[in-house]
Amino acid sequence: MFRNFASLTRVSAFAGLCAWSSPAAAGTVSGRLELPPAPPRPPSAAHGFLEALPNLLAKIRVTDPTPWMFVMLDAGTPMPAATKPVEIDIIGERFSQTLVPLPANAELVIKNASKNTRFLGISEAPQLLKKVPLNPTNTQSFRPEKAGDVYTIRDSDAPHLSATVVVTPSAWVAPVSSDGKFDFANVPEGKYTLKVYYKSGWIDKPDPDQVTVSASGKVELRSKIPPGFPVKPAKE
Amino acid sequence: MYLSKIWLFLLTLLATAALAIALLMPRPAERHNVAADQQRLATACGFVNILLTDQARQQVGVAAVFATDADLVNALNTASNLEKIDDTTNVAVQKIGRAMADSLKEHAPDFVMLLDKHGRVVARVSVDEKEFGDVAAGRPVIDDALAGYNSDDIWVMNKTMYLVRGAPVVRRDLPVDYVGAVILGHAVNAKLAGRLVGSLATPGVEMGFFLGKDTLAMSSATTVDADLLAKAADDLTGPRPNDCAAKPLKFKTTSAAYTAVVARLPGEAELKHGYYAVVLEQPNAIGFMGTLKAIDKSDLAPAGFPWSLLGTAFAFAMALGVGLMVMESDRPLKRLAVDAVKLGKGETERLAENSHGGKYGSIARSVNIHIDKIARDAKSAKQDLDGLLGPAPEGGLGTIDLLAAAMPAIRPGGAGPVTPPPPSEFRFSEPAKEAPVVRPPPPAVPARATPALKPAPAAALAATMPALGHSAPMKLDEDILGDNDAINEAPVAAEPNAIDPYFKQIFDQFIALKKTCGEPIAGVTYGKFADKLQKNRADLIAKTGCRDVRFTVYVKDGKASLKASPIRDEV
Repeated sequence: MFRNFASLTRVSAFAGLCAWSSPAAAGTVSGRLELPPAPPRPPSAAHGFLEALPNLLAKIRVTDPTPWMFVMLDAGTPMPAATKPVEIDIIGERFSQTLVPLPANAELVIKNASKNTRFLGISEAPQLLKKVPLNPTNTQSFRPEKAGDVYTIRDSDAPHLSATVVVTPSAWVAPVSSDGKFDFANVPEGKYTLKVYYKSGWIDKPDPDQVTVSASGKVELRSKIPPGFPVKPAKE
Repeated sequence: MYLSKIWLFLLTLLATAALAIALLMPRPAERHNVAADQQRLATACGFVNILLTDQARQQVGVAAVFATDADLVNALNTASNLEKIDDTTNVAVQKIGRAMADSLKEHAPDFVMLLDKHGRVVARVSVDEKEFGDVAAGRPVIDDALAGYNSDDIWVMNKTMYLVRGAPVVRRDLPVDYVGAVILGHAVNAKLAGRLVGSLATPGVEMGFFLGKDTLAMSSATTVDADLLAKAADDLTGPRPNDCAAKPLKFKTTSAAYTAVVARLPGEAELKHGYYAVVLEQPNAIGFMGTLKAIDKSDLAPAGFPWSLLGTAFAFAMALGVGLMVMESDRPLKRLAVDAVKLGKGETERLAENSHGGKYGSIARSVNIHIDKIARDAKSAKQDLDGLLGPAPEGGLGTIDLLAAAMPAIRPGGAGPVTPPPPSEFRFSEPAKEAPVVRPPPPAVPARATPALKPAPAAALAATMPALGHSAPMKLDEDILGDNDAINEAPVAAEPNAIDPYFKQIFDQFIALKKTCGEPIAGVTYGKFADKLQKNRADLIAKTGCRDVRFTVYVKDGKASLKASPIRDEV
């Protein structure tokens, strides 16, 4: 049964992302993040005349951190140029992914699947995405080059409509499901470091998870996220 | 006069200062009014924020109550389990939403949005009713509602601003869970703006809602400078509640000038440059004349106006001014006048210079100087006559009459006045005690026109003189007979062949006057009389250079006397 509409769209997008590279000798990496207890979801910072008040009939929903997370296998060497674009959609009043990992030199294609015309822009690099009307069903794209950059795509007419794009040095990135699971397919043989990105930076783990992928092998990982989701800024 | 001048200077200074104050007085009052208006605006602006906050609280409560409806809970619970929202579910949920909105009557929202737990729109009421199934999650108020919060926001859709309230829909049957959210939207329109202004109870204040340079709603038809307001709103920094305390801005339209305060709207509207403005029309500067026109009876009522103080000040100023005038002008002038009257009456020979101060003393000194000069002239003239005629004996015909020459006895062109002029108010001497001077009538000889008259030898004039010429003012007359006895005792000369009619006339008057006075006339003959007159006239003409001589008969010391007055050519 359908449980989480946003999770479904997010997984679909990542599945497309990871499928762009399929070397001959490749393995599979799957695993699960052990997430610390999530706190109740705080109210939005943006509000009207009143501070948001918790209702008295049920407990406030806890924060699901997974929409704000992705994992990456970092080989530590320059990656080959991306050949396949990454696609995300505007669905209603939100992006299909709030956090978008985008390999350097890969193209990000944004499709307007909502019923309203959008005016997207990137405040950090306005030249990357021209502010033109994005009509329903149309697409708009841009191609960042520098790994480590973080961009925020925002609709000037709908301030709540935003997504964060993280330009990654590795092409092997995967989303995290609500239960913490992730999967990498067609990972070339070699040694990698598993990195976890959360909201605004990489999770700062004292003992990074090392992964060795063999040809046609399957690797199972379990990684524990420290309490409080400590992160290091994306740009170091 | 010194103090009077100082007082006049002070009064003028005071009047000028009073006028300046009167002209300036409206300005501080107008500034005070402007400051008061600005304070009213700031208060009204803050009050609008309070009203909007209070309204948000009430409507969030309404949404929360709305969300507890059992039918709605069940319908959204069902919709949340659907992979896709179908028409049946949409219609069913929409019907529930419409019924609940209608139940709110005048407080009914302008739109209702009902969402399932995934943020999908199950149904809309009043706005875009045919659209459903889209994902509306992402807006803060919806996300908050789906997470369990009651909250509010301000949306802008299709250039219409909505005050949006959200509440979670909770399934209370076990397991308790969130099954959706209720979103109520109330349009920001002129009705709302008017209602807010009505609640302010501040006369003259208007307000409006704006989105950048676009006016969304105004409480009245007032036209505002939205560009200026938008700029002011963009310039606002710091916490939003402090916006109302910012410096008011002023703008003018074709019809009036306004003062305005702007305050940012919160939430999504703030990010879209939404704000509201409270506007107050500036009162016209009425100025001095306007202030005068604005005065009414209550302003002048004794209870509110210091009439007593004003009256006291007026009386004091008037009394001081009059006192100074009396002291420095009226009293010295009166003293001088009294002194002058005494001088005129002969009670004193000079004005008392030392008793008059200032300019009046100067006047008295000038008059005295002139009196001294006249006395010197008279003395000199007397000495001259004495040298000509010999010392005049005391009394009788020998007395010199200084003032008798002031009025000529005969005037050219007609008879002169035979009666003395009417007495003036101020007399310089008492009326003469002696009998009035009998002036001879004009001689019978035809008068000749003066302008055509050529100067004639004195001898020739002696015969015809009485009828000719003008009698110029003279200083001296003289008693030409000196003593009547001289005539009486003089040897009688032979009667002249020709009798001078003028001398004969004078002779007749003289004889008649002597008879009147009871004097003897024996021995008084016309010949001697005429000889005497003729000789006297010749001597006087030679001595004084006068044109002719006039003889006058008068009584002096009870005796008839005769005096001669030189007649000079008119200048």
